[in-house]
Amino acid sequence: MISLPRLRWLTWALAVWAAVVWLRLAQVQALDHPAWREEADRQHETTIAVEEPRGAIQTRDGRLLAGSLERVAIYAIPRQIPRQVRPELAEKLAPLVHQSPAQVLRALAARETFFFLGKNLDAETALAVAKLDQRGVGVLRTEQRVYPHGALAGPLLGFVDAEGVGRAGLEAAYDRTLRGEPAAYRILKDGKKVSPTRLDLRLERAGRPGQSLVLTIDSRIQQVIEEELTRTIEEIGAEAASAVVMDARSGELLALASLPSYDPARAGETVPQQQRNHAVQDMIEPGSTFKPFIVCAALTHGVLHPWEMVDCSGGGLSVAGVFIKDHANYGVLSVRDMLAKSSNAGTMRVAMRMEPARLDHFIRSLGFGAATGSGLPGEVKGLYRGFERWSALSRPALGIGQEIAVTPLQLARAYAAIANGGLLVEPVLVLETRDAVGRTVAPFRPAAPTRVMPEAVAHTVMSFLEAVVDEGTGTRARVAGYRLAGKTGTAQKAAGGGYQAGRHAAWFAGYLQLPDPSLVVVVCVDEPKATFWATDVAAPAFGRIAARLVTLLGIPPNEVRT
Amino acid sequence: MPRRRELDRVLLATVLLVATIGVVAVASASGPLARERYGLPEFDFALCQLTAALLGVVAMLTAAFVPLDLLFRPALAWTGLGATWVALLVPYFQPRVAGTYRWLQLPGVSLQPSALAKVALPLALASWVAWCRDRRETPERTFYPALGMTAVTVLLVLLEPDLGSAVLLLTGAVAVLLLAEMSWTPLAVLGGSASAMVVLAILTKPYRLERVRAFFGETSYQVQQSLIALGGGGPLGRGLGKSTQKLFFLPQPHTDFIFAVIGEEVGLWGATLTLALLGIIVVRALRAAHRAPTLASGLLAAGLAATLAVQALINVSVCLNLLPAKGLPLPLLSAGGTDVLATMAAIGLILNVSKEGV
Repeated sequence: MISLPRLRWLTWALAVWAAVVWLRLAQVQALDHPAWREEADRQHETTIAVEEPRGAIQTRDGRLLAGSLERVAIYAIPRQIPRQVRPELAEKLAPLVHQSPAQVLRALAARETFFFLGKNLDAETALAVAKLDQRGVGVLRTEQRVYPHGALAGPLLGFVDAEGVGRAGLEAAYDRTLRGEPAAYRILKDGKKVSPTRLDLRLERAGRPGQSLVLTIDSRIQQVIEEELTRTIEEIGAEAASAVVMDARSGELLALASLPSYDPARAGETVPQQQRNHAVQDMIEPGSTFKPFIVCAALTHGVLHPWEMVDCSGGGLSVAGVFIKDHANYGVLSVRDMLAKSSNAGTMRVAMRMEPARLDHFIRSLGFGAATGSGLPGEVKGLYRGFERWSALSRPALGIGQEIAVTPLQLARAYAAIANGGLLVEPVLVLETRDAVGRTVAPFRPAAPTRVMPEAVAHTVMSFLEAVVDEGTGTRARVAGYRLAGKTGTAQKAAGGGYQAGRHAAWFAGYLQLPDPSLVVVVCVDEPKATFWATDVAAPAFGRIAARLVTLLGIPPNEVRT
Repeated sequence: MPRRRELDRVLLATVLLVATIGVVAVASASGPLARERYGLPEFDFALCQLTAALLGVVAMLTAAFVPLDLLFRPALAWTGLGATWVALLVPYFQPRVAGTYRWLQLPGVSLQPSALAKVALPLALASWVAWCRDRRETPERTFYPALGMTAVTVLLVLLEPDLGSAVLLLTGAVAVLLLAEMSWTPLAVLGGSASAMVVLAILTKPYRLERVRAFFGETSYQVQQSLIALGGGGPLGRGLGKSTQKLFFLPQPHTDFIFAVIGEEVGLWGATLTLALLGIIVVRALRAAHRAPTLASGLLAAGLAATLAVQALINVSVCLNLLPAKGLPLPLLSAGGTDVLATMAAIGLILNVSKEGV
């Protein structure tokens, strides 16, 4: 007989152990169940984002500037592909990825984990890959961004990177709108953390396709501007040129050109300098194009009378021991002639009549020294110091457009205020956004304009600016039969606290067409080579643009010559 | 001639039920593994398990109806142990499998001799102790040869290396000697040397030391996965076949950690039922030992019952992070032909004891 007390003892020991095990089991499975379930979900499930189609960018006249094509990418995970099937597999994959079978074999041998065998392939490729039914080879839906008009408005459009994220221009500024919301799927994964063994997709959050942008840009006007700027660069020789065409009433930008341009589809082949949008990223002294604003300020604040004769004598002006030259000794000129001849001595004297704080306030009210609200990435505020930091030279310098640097867009906006009867508007680039089926999501609502000068002052100055084109420095901007207005400006380029010899910018800011102009065109030619005077560089460019725009837009002439 | 009792039908039915559960559990747990890792048909492991269980039934019934007197003849019992030693020795002269000498490779089939030793050693010891008692040998002359038999068997297994099976062999041996009313001094010697052996075994193998360290520190990966399986399954489970942890999170879902998969799929109630069924087997085995008419049959039943119980408890304790990770199969449930076969043979012997009269 065996020892029964000891058997009982053994039985108890086993029973106690079993009881401990069961209590622990109950703790893990019942009490701690929620925590462990969470832990399990964390490692079993993962969320994958499936991008929705990116929205298009089109012009107001219906031309597609940027769109997306549905493509597929073929990926491979070589460690899941047995060596013996590889030669046959390579044979079948090669034509799909436009490579030789040997290249495919080498690619498979060179790696272990996930990589792309081919990208931007036709959607039909997906079917062919599915038919292969080979573990470790699959397709992913991708998109290819296309720009049907190539380099047209390139710096304005910007581009997307390899992941489809906007990296410059409108593609970056409106990236969230264009991209939409990716759909989120919960997916069951296995412990090997490679492709899921069982695809158990569960939609967690529905996606929203990207919205399309309808720009205020008119592709025909954009085309004209770019052609004429290109011509100027070719004829004169220049580093860059930019132009802005703005609807003075609504602030809509009909064209915003920056040259040299580039094809956004080939953004990878460009250097950042080429991607620069000179119309919003360059800060250049406005030079004489700033003079009309000094006159506006003086008229608004009653320190200048429109029919007054202004002292433009001396061939320049000596301020605080510094002599600033004029083009000639003009003697005494009317305000109209002072602007037409662009007298430095005259506008400097007018500027000095202004109280600094008031002049400062007027300049700021025109939007200088602040972003325009276009929302374009990289837009600069320009350089402008408040009157607290002015020197004795500052007012006369501002009188001739120095001690301030502006972007072409800022200048266009301020000029628009004169054409708009003294009302300042915000520049607008996007007319509306549309959803995937073409319904308007966010129609454009213009911000209320701000009055910056009395209407009478604006009309008066506009009439003075007509004289610039008719008989002054801007005669080369004339278009026969049309009443135009504008102002030239030749600025020396500043750098490091001084001016750089031989480096200039030529401006022309003009209107189309009087008596009630609705279009503002600002042209800026950066570092012209053959000649640098705005009169000979920017004014003719404006003239050619204006001549083509009246034809394009069907604007009737003011007078028919016989 | 003692009066014959009925064969313990409860025990028999429970064993058949647990073995069936084992086949189902293996089928569920091993499917993805078979297909993805080994490139085998999905139910390959389950078919092997079914085959082993059917062979096990044959072995069980054979063991249940062999005359016990014949088995307890010293010559036969020692021959059995000697044959086991040979089976344990042969692998040392064969190429290693997975870096160990655990597998005896015969033409067409591989066996784990240590599983057979779990039956042979208690049988030999029970037979030896009873034989000495009949001859009124001194305790010393009974104990030291018994210690020798145990030491040789355990060492052969330990060197394979297979610490888990060695611990089980010691469990069986201690149970037999304990219940044979061996005095405490030799039992203390046996227990002490066994403990020393285990400590030494752990200290000499870095991976064992690592497991122990992991037990007291941050939970090791596999045990963490086991807890996630059990805890994730919760009270009601995810449903049969719906374990997510078997998808390559658990390193050994169909063998060492099959209990975790069972718990995940059928929940606390299913896991409790499984443990209860194993508990019934152990209780019925101990009952057979309790009612055994002879010392030898009682010791045999008790030794086998203790081995079985400790094996199951260690396995489940590891799954629950109550013990350091140790690769022991869950009796009748883990995939593994030899262990199923040996376990069913052992239960056959217990059945045999159960039908002996008073």
